[in-house]
Amino acid sequence: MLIGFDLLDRQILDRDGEPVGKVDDVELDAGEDGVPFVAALLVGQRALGMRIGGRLGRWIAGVALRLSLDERPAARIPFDLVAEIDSAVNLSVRRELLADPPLEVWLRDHVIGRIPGADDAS
Amino acid sequence: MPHCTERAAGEDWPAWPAGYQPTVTLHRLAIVAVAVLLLWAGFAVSVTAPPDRSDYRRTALQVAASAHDAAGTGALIAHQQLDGDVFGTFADAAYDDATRTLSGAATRLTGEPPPDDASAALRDGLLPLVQEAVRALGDAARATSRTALRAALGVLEDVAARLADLIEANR
Amino acid sequence: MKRFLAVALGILTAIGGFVDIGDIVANAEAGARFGISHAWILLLGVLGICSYAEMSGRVATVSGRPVFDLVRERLGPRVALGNLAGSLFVTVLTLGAEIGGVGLALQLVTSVDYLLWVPVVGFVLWVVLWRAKFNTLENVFGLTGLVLIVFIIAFFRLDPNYGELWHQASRPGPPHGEDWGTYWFMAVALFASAMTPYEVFFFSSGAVEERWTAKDLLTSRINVFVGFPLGGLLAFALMVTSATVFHPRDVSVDSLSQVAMPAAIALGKLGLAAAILGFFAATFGAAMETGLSSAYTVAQYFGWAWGKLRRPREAARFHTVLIVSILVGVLVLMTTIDPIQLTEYTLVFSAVVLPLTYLPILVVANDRGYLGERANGRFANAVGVLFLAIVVVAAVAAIPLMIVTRMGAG
Repeated sequence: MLIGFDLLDRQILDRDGEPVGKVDDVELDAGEDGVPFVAALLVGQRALGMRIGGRLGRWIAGVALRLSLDERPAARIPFDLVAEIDSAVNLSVRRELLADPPLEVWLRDHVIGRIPGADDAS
Repeated sequence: MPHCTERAAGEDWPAWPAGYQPTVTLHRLAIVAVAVLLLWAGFAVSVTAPPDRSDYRRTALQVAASAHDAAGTGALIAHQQLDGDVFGTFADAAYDDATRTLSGAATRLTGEPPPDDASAALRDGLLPLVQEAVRALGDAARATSRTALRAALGVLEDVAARLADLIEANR
Repeated sequence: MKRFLAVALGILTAIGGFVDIGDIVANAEAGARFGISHAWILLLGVLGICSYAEMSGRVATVSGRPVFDLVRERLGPRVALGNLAGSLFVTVLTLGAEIGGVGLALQLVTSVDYLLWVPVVGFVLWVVLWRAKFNTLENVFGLTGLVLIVFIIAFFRLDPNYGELWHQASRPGPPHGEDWGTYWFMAVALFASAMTPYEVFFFSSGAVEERWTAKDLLTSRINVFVGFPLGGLLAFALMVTSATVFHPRDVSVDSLSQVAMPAAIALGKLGLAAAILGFFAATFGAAMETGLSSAYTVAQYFGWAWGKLRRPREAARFHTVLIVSILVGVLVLMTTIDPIQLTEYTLVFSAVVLPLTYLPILVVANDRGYLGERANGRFANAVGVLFLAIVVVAAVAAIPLMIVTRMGAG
């Protein structure tokens, strides 16, 4: 599997096919024999900003940091939660078990959730 | 190339190496600033320079064309009213649109003094036509009887024709 | 029988949905100033959008994911971000222009100034997008937009000089009073109005909203190959009626009221009412599409949950982008810029952004990983590359033409 081709920027779907985010970056680790492997998927604007690089990337990352409600650098999905990789990265767990994206949570609680009819799909 | 970070979980992102000064960025900023300044100066010069004869002629012809459009449209609206093809609110809105075009044209014409005698002659020929069009369009818009409407229609068609002649003569 | 109705309905909605304020303004202006000597541009534009809409529809039905969703994967986050920024800028401006168009149409039947309508329209637009079903929206506004057929009827009633019109169409070039600069400027604007960037992204996301799968590929194709050409026909009707009424009088079109006049002259008050209703439906429908399209593209770039098919509280970021886009559109109009002028500027910017929009579609449609054996064949690629080349030419020429002709004034 080529990281650049098969993994980065792919859509991550949970067990029910619901979108979790994109693979904004990956975290590599080295095994005992020194061979690197993918330890986790990193999701979030900070990870994306750092990866895009340059002044623009650092600005994106900075905005994300100011918006986030805690000090976590990016949502981290351990690689062993990945069930299958086809046109998307499919996880073996439901979305609820992962860390909630802070922006989504904030908007849901303070803006969208307060408007009547927020529970009805159409 | 994808950029994969190698770091332990929880560690922060790497900082600039100690002692590194981003001088390249400063140079680039200076070049951009000079370029912007030159562009702005050029723009300021071209905008504040007094118009010459060909500029004025072009403006005058555009004004004539706009006035001709407004008068022609006004005549069309009057025709449609006489034929019973339009309802009141539409005619009002249509007259408003034509009036706006016409007053824009009139403002442009009176906004600049002509740079020389030939331009002044052009303006002297154009200005009365524009004023007549303004009057006739206003008359058509507030006409309450068919006779008044027909009269305004006649004036509008006449003004449009004379404006067309003026444009042709000066092209 | 039910399936036939679904397809028929799809075609009908496609027709009404493919005429927006940009098409209305560009075609009427071109007809008035140049006669129908731009007819070939319209034909070219329709062929181009058919080619690329077919690709986007195919990508969505076969892979289950809209085209823009896949752009970041295939072209990388930097390029996709540039694409997003360009498309979003143009789409939000277009949204503003459409809301302005709705306001203008309402002004024609009430005496209330369009500017007073703008915030109301913006609010109603949001409420409709919040509550109404996607399918219902498409059907109601698409079908109502069909009344623009009145312009086709009006054309024949006006008893035009067919010989003169054929002469204009078959000899492309500036008539007396215009020059090649303004001719090509108008051509670029018309082409951009036919190949509107948001249209293909919306069609692709819409296919997913309607839950089309690979077996709906035929439906998607019929939608494209019948809907877009018929939409192009409606746009052409606007051009040709304007050419019949305004061109012989040497009068330019710069207001929505003028565009409606041929219908009034030919068919009286009823024709006029139909024309205004058609303008309202077309611009309101397009406002919905541009609003949704802005939110789709942002959400799909970042991988957020998106779509009307989800509960709003589960797609909070998507709905927030939608609200913000509508707000920005309304604010742009509240600067009292003339909506017709805003439309003209937006068309030029659309032309510049076109390559950014269409190149990724061509790349994604060739990907066998998503499309398997339904990836582009040689013919689709040949046509796609040809139109991409045309699009690049238009994009490069747009700004210089705008400057040289002073926004088409000459």
